[in-house]
Amino acid sequence: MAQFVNSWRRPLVLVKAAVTYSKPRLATFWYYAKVKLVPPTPAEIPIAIQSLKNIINSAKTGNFKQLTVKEALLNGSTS
Amino acid sequence: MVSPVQVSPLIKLGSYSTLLLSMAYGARCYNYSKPWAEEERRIIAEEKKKRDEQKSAEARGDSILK
Repeated sequence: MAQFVNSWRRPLVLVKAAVTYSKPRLATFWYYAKVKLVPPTPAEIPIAIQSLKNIINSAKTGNFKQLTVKEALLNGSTS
Repeated sequence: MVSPVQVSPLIKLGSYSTLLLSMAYGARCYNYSKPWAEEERRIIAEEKKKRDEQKSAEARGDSILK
């Protein structure tokens, strides 16, 4: 019986160490995920369609040539 | 920590739709190839059984060159 309990001691120690290690990292992940990984709400769909129309317009009128490369990259990646 | 930048709704919409569509595509591919995969597995199991029978027959000394 004591052997059975003792055989679980080492794995439990490892699990506890893993939890202690991952807690702050999970906190950072959660902090960024709440903003970046959240799916679009139904209220954001009209805004998205409007942004698409803006892009198509800028392609039609040639406005996109006025953008700097930095702005273009930012637009493409996050905002 | 740097404060996170808000992501544009268009990018969010696009990426999540791509995710869902590719999941649906994967499901369709899996369903399409499932019958053929089962057929393959059945054929392989049958051939394995035949080979095992042949081996056990040989082990018993059961050959045509009696």
